[in-house]
Amino acid sequence: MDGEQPTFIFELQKELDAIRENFRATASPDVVTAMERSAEELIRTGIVERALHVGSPAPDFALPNAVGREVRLSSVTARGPSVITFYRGAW
Amino acid sequence: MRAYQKILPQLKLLGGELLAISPQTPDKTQATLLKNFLEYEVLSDVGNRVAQRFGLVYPVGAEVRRIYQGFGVDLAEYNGDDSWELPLPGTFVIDRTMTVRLSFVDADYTRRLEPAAILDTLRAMRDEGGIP
Repeated sequence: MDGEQPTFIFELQKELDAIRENFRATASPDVVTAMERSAEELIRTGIVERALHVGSPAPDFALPNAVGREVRLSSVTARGPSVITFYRGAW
Repeated sequence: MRAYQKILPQLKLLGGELLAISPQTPDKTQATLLKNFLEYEVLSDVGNRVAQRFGLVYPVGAEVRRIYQGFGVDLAEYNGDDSWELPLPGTFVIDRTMTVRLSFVDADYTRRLEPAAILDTLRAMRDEGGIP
């Protein structure tokens, strides 16, 4: 194993597209319209363009993990590349 | 979240580490870990203070707020504040000089970065000798 081997092919977007289609098919049309309108409005605010982009310095931070232990970004990047993913919650 | 779990072995072989960040309280975060059998750090960013510095925070509009509430999602309870603010889903790769090497942000809540793109970035970083 050298990390290069394609041990699997995972196509997340296809899975999410299926979830979206299912949402459109099963949620009430009012809800679908409202959610899509809200996403469009958000894009028009320019928030995506203003977010941190490639080449920017990342802000350092320290946050508690699930058991309350603090994790500092600069300590993690000192060991190697850090992948940070923001999500809304698991509800 | 489970999608990123699947690339974790390869990500680690490339010297990388994965941190997931959400506005949920540590208690709710622990529930997420258990529910999804996640094996990476899930950090609790109550009040979205870090997400703000990455430029990802937005207020949830009244209409969508009503929809969430209709689904039984009470953000105040999950997040420990009643701001009704959320981060956009976003993924970043940060190198050892604290520079952003990959940035993916999307306002469409059903889109995510393909996990393979993260591995491509890590390989490119390794090939330029950036990984000790």
